[in-house]
Amino acid sequence: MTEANSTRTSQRAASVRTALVLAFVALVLFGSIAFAQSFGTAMVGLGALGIAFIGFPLAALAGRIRK
Amino acid sequence: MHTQLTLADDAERLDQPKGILRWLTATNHKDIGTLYLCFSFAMFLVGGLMAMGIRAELFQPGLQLMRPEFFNELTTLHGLIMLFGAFMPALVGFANWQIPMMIGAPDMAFPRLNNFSFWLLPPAAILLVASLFAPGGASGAGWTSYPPLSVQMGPGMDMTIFAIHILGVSSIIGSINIVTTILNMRAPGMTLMKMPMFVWTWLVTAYMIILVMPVLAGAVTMLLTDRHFDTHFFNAAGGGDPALFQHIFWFFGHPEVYIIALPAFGIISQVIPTFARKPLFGYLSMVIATCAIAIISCAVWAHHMFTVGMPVAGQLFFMYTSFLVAVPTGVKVFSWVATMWEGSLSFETPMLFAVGFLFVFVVGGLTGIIMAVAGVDIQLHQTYYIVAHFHYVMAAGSLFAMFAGTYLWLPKWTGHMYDETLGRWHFWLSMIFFNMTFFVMHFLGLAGMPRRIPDYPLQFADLNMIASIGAFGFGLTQLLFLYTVIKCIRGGPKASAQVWDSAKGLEWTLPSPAPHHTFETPPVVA
Repeated sequence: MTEANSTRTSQRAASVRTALVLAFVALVLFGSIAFAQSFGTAMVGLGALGIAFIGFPLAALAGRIRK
Repeated sequence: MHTQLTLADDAERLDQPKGILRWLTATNHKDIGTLYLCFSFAMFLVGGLMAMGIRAELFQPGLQLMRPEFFNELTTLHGLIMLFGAFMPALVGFANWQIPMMIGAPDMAFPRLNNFSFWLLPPAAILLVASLFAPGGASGAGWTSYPPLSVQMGPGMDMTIFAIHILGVSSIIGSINIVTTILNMRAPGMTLMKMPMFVWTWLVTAYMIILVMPVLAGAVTMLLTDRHFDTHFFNAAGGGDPALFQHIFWFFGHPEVYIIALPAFGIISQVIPTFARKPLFGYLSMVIATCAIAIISCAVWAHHMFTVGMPVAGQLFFMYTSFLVAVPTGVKVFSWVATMWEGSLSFETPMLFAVGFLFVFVVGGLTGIIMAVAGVDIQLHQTYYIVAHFHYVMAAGSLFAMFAGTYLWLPKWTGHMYDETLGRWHFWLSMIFFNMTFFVMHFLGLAGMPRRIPDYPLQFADLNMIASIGAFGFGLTQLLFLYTVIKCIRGGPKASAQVWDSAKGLEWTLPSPAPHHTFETPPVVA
């Protein structure tokens, strides 16, 4: 029972981590569209997209290392 | 696949709230799946009624029933409701019901969030439909909401924008839940490469939603600020660019096609092996093709904009990437046909719809390749050829797959077998009336009939009359589907756990109907 609870707790923590990373990706994409246009440079948009795409695997990897 | 199951006692359900409260506070993935499916079918009927209105007006030339402005409002709402209110929620409903059962999880990763993402949908749907009664009527700018028209419209446009925001938030939350469930909640031994294809397609689809839905939300937010906060993102007079909206919109819009198509592919990949009594041909290539479609579909958006004007290099790029997306799609069609090849085939209703899907989807896919040619597209753009193409791909393609999935899993969901005779009638009438409606539209488009008009020259009268009769028949046939499903829910022959003799997967190890709580102790997948 304790082992099952422990498994569920660690599974829950992993799920929260994954969800937060995905929510971050969505927020960055949402913000970057208007941000890039407001500042009139495509590089800002591309940079934001890059952060979103590269940030996710990095954050996911960091999560693995912590475990 | 060896499994060790411990099924929770269904009596626990007695402690759950009863009546409307059960559904309002539902956190069980099966209840929420049912809510999604019921909601999406209701919206399918609402969107379908609007389509009937459109076809009634187009039954003969001249203005018969409605003002041109109202006709535009109907075409706009029909598109938005069908995409965001009917098709996407329906596929999320399938995901909710099936994914936890297929991967051996007790529920979705975030059950309360799951409830929240569903209950965001009804307010959005009310906003969309209620916009018809706003001063100036609903948005008539088309489902694409291109500026400058969308910047100039009345409050109905604001309601549409808010509805899109809410629907987008719901989709993103739902997708986060799905990805998290698939990555973290799989049963021991259920490696990624052992997952059923339906789960794979949803994993990829959910990623796509997370990547492109915020882009749409950003675009309509800029539209909102252009309308009310004096910004000039899309206003040429203020230094903005109306074509920018089209780029951003289609960066969302084309992947949206695959967001609807990929889970449909997943359903077909479950149905065909079941009724061919063979494992899916080329599982690995199917997984790779799914990922390839998702990636390439993010690089084809401007093929919707060949007539807007772009450099030749741009036209060539988007033309070739559009051709390229046909390759992994072709791999999928090949694999389905190869699965059937020399299989021990039987044609129960799910298989009929799966084969029907192959036919309509291939027709839609082939016309898509034709339109990917920039020179041809300039001729066919904004004609009924386009209407025919995307209804073959998105409407019938996905709809037939969803019908196939419903008939496949309905006995598992309800515990009863559906009426096979009614199911077959549903298939054949749908197939005949669908083609009657949309096949003739290819000829209308080739002859030059523009889309989104309530009136047309006399030369298009005969084919429009055929299309309208077909549309009414197709619409009425869906009431037969509703009757068949209700009849199955209320009773019928008892379904066994293994409903179909050669069905494979964890869901078929559960009794029918599936108990309220399943896999509380994870099964072990060998």
